[in-house]
Amino acid sequence: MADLILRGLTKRYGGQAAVADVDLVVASGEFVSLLGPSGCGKSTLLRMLAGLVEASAGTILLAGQDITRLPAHRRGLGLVFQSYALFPHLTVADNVAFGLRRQGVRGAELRRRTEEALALVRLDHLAARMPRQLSGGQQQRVALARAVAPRPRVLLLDEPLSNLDALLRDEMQIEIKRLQRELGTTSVFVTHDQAEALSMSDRVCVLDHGRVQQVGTPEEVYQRPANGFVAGFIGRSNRLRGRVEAVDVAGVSVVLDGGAVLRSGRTEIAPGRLVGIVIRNDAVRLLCGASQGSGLPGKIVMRSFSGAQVQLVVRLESGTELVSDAPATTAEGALGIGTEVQVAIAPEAVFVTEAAA
Amino acid sequence: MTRSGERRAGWLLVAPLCLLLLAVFVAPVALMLPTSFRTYQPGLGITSGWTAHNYTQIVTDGYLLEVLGRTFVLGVSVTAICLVLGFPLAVVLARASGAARGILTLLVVFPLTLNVVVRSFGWISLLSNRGLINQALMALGIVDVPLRMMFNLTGLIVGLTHVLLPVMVVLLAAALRALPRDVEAAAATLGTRPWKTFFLVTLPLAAPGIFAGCVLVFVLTISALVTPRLLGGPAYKVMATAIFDEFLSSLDWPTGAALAFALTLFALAVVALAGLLTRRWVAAR
Repeated sequence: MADLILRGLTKRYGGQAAVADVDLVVASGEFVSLLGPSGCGKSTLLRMLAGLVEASAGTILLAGQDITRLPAHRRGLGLVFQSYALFPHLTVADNVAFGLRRQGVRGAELRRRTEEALALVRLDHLAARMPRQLSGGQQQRVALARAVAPRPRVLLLDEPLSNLDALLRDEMQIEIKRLQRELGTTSVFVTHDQAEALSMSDRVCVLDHGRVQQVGTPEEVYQRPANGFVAGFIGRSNRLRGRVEAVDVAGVSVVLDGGAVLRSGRTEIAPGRLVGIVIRNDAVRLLCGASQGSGLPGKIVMRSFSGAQVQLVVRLESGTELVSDAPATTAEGALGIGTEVQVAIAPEAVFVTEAAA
Repeated sequence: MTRSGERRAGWLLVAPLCLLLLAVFVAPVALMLPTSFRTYQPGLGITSGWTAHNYTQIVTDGYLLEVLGRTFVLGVSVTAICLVLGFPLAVVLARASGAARGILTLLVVFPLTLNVVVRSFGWISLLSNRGLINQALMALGIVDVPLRMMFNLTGLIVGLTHVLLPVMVVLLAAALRALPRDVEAAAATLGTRPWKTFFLVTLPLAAPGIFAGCVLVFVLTISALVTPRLLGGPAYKVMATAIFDEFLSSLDWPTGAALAFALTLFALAVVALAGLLTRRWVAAR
């Protein structure tokens, strides 16, 4: 087990950079997610780590050794594919034993370690089956056992859960997390599902357009997103358009399309520019008892209950509609349609982005 | 549409082809089968008696046995050479994408558009005793007497390999393209060297396609007529040319029919055996 260090890792296809200048340190035994929308370069990045895609620039260090130019079969990393990629002509046991055989493990030792790996994913009873006789979830567990059986230095997981249905996905999340804890394997997990990334990872690396947007613990990226992209991608958000009106020491004022003015804590954008504005649903606070406070006056026009949370749609006097997520059990969550409220949004929760999307 | 309705529509759609095959394939075969058990007397033609001699002579007559053996060796050789030469090309074709694949496919298939007679004459001008190759070899002093490359197995193998290579390549490329995603990459990440991945993963998974390609090339080789006739001449016969001669030169239809049925049975036996061996081999992986 050792640190995995990426320095300036870049992959260009033609002139286009699929992965651009990625710096990342994964500590020994750590579980790091690469999170981003499809096409953000996360899978390409993972395939570069695995040695299946050649890096255009930058270095990959594993335990101090430069593995950037090492072919995949000499890296000693385990990879779990989105497509499972089990060998259809081999039994479950032979699939799991495949990597062990390449390491020269034979006889009783081979049998013992194959059984051990299958027991880890609780599939020891299906060792003699062919992959096609298994369900999707079982196949993915075999793929997991196959990847960890040779005791890889790093376990790479490429959207391993996205082909499974919701119930199975939750189960597999726990399964993977448990396995990773038990083995203490350094893991890099690629996903486009923020819930998956947040619940499973020690740290999350958010990517967009091949670039790292933020690296931090799940709490950090959720509660203190580094920019509008991260704020918009993680959690549910309102996306609005507006224009920067004034810049002062404390931040900027932004005029929304309908005329309402919001304060934002941070930006370097010059006044007069058209911008996109991202506000998390749960950062939109609704204060009842109209008159007091400096919030924007509005009226609740829709309410939908979804278990632990209530989603409230507020129409400001300017006509702009905002969505607010409130815990169902609070006074805020109990507000009904037609209620007059004051909308308060902390300036640091208002993210202003370059392109007026 | 209901299920039975769908089935009826399906039958209706295949009916024209079925009828055509019945009329021009099954019926002639059914007519030839009795003929193959008739006796033939030169000058008199087909007589009314029944005999199994037409079949037994294939095994007892040394000449016919030699022709059958030659046909088998030719079939196996051409198939093996097409497989070895065609596989790398099929890999390239299968991995190519977009415009490159289109151009490559066209290049591979292009020889098929040329008439077999023309191509055979091309080979004659290269392979004959006074052909280009022998003239060059003698001019360079490498050989004193021309190498015999025609009217023998060499000529037939060269000619038929040339004709059938595209068929093999196209079928192999289709099989390789149908490999499941990422399995070769998975083998690599599990520490498998590329050549070992080829033998442990690619080859077993492509086995059905390889088998199909080999069967087709084998069957087309042993049934080929024009190329063996032109490159083998009138004396160096294989089963197909022997059958042709029995029917059209000797007018000995019973022997010709018996040879034709024997060749069919022989081909079926070889294909069945090859299928069995392929399945064994894949299962043993």
